[in-house]
Amino acid sequence: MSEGGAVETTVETIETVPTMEKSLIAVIAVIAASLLIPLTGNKYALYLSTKIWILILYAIAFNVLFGYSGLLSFGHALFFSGSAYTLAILVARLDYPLVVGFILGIAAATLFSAVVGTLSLRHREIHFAMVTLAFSMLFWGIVMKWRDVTGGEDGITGFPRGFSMFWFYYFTVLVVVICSYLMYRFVKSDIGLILEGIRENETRVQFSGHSTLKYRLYAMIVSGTFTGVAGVLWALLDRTVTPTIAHWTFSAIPVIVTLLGGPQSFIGPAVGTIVYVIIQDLITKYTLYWQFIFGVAIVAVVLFFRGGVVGIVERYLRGR
Amino acid sequence: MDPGAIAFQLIIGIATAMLYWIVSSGLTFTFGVTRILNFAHGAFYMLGAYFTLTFFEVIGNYMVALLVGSLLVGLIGAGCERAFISKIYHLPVPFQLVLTFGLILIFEDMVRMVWGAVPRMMMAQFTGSLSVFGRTLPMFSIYIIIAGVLIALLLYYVLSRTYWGMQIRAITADPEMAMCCGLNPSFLYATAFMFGAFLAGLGGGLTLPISSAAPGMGENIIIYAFIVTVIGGLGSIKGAFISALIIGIIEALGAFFVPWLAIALPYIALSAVLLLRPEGIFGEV
Amino acid sequence: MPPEEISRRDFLKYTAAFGAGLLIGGGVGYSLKKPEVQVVPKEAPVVGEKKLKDTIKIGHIAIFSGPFGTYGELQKRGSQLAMEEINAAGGIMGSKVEIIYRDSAAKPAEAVKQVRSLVENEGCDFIIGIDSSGVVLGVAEVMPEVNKLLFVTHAATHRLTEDLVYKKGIKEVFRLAVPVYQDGIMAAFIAAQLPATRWAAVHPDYEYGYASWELFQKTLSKLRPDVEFVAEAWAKIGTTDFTPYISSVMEKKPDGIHTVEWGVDLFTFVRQAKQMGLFDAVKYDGGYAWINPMGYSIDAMEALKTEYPEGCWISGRYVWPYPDTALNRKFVKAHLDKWGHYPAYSGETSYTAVYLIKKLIELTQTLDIDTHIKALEDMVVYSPAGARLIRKEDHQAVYEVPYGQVKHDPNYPIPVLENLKAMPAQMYYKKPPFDEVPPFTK
Repeated sequence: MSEGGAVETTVETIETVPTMEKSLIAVIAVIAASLLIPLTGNKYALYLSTKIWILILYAIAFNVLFGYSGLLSFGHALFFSGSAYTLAILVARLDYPLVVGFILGIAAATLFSAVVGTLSLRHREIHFAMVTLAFSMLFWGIVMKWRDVTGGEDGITGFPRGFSMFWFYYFTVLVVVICSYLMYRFVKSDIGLILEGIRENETRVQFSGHSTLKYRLYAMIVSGTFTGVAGVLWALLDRTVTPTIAHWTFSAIPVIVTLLGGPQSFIGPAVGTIVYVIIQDLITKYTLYWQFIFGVAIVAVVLFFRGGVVGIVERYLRGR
Repeated sequence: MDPGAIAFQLIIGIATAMLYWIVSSGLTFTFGVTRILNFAHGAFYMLGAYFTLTFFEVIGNYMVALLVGSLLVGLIGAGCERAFISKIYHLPVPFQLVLTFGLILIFEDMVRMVWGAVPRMMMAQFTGSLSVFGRTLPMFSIYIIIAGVLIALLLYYVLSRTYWGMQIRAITADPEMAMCCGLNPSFLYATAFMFGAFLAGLGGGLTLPISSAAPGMGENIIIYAFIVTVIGGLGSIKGAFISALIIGIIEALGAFFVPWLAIALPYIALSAVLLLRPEGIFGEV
Repeated sequence: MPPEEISRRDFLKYTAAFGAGLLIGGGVGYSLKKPEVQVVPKEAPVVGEKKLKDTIKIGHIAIFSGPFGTYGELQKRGSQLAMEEINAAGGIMGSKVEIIYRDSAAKPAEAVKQVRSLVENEGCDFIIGIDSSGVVLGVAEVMPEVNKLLFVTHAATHRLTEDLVYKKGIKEVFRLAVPVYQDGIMAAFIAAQLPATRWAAVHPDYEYGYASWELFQKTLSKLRPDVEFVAEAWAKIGTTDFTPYISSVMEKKPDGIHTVEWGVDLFTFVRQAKQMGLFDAVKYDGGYAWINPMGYSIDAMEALKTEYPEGCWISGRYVWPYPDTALNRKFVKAHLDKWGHYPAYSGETSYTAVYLIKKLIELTQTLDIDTHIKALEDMVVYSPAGARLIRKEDHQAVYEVPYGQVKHDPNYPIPVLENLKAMPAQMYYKKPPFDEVPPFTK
């Protein structure tokens, strides 16, 4: 690391060590607590927690691009469904082993993110969001229309999970924790720092001799690949893939949960996901007018709790 | 191939295009002035249909019901701007998208509570047809085309000939300078939002005679309005008009030549345009 | 680097956090553990009219939000009516019936989540409902895992019964509604009797549209080798402007139309087709060569009323005027009295599903799934829609639904059907192993 970098790191360390440590303790405690969920024997809690873990990975992967590079993608459903469909097609249609489907599914997401990144990263802000939206909806169109392969609207069902729900949960936790750790290392690496630099002041980073496009592409590929991991896990959970996961509304989920949790911190999206899924589950349980209450909650978060849940907690800790 | 068939399909396509234009005009206008990409535009469209329906049932005159209904939607739009949107002008795009997305959910369930989940139809208006190229052109296609052109003229007139329009143009071009000159931004943003919502409501009310009012009807149209707006260039009214024509005609010719591909055509067009000109046809970066 | 002892302290701290997490998690988890999921064990002897449970819980999943939210409402009318009737008459073997309604939002993943929530959290004993084909396929896959029976009351895809139940052996799924055989095959039998020879399609652009049109073409070409299929239009769900699709189809000069548009899209389509003269193009002596399998849906009839031209051939997964039995008349009257509406087809199927559950429990005196499956296979169910035979191989309820011509009758608030045409269900339902499309050659 360069000298300047070392100085900056020290400054950062001094400032963030207490919160860092606290969040690390919290994260470890939550992971430990969640490891016990399957042992309670409540199958629905098991299912819902598996889903939360998968969506956490989806949200963190999304935020690598959004929170650290400042690029709002509205097409992450493409990487998510791209990997899920690759797995489903390989396993259910072509009789490949599950492991092959799993690995090639993730590889497909890597490929998609590289291609989309190459084509779209010249654009900024809302234009970038629109280009990614366009590509993902194009993929949705293909999924809907290439019925012999994708099953059209019905999607693909009938492939094994490879685990019982019980062990699939632990598998998911393991995969998500490892992937999140890898992404954490990525955003805290030199590349991550440069990305944050690009987010704050692109021209300056360009003057320092870095190709900003290249670093953005790295972020895109990392983000897309780990979104792909979430995609294959999702496919295995319900053992079904349908075009709803390719639709733009599915790209909106990580955007919402990231804002809900707080995009500034690494675990913000994870917190947002937990809150999102549990609130939604509780509301749908009590009323068929769940959209109304959910909408009010979203509006309230944007208006009053802008730092997200993590922001509120941080403010509380600082104030103390 | 019968040239009459293609010419006729073109006319039909223009009518479809005008439908998209009417809905997109408000979206792109609001964005141009306030820089807010309003997802809830589709909800205003839906409200327009329901209000028009209800006023029609009370008043019995479609034109009056349409106007009153759309104006009411405009007022609701202004209310939303004051209560919610005005608080987020300084925030990044995702906050705007998520907040307006929340508004959609709220409006949709409110419509379900008030009018019920069952879609409602209004008595057919503008029935009858003309014979064009030996084919039957329904009156409502002509009426949609006329309405679309009228709205284009209205927008042109309001923006270039009225005092309010000039203020709007000023604040769009350079907000700080406009404020220095004594323009009231809160008033202008609220009224711009109101005008955008009014246009959305007008769109919903205008399609009512040929379709129906249903919860969630805005979801289907808003994505098309987005495509049109982005292809035309965000904030460009001229661009929205041209790109609505492109999308409408592509849809009509697509249904004729490649019916199995129709669903994907708008996205193909969108991807192609964005790759060549990411800022849209008439957009500025 | 900082000295070692700090990292040891850190280590202790993290271990403590881990331990505390385990404790809290265990506590929360234990409190989540619901005793009510326990069902009376199957080896427990059940004698006579002994109560199995205090409450028999049924989870009803349908679309309650969005443009097709009305379909959940129509189903709810049927199942709620059945529930109230049963409870008023003393419940099922003394147990009260309770139905919990949940929104599938037309999304497979959401519906699967709701199934698990209903079974594993609310302790539901049965699941009924489900509207669209993509959703039902996803839900069927999890039924063995949650180990409960699913009675499908609306979704029509043939892949459910042919692929998942028959070929793959998912035995927990039963369908009480007519599959796409009604929309494709039976429609072709009606079409064969009409003078039209140039058929065209206007369909919603998804699997249901493709499946219906494919079956229609196959059967009709066997019945009438002289017909041609001249045009097809695929309109996305939620189309506001059908004119480009209508004009494209009309360009090919069809004299018969097959359309499986439904819900709000059907309203729009009929209105615009009428003004563009599509009905006039398919007119024949005695009506219109216009076949709309789900046309006699109550929502469409109530919205369109007299706007739906007289003489079109329409049907449903049940139509209230048929059959003319005491049971059906009683059901229609009860439904009218309670809701002020005629029953929709999915209302009838939901009503029947709840009563079938009652019969099933009374017959077997248990809540054991395997016993239920055995009892249901080859069972004949007497329902408002007539006698349904639950076919053993594919768990499809086999019963016939007629087609009829739209007739405007001032004595009724909605159009009625005349000239009803039905044929024995065995003749037009595909049979295991599902290789052959009717008409069957033997």
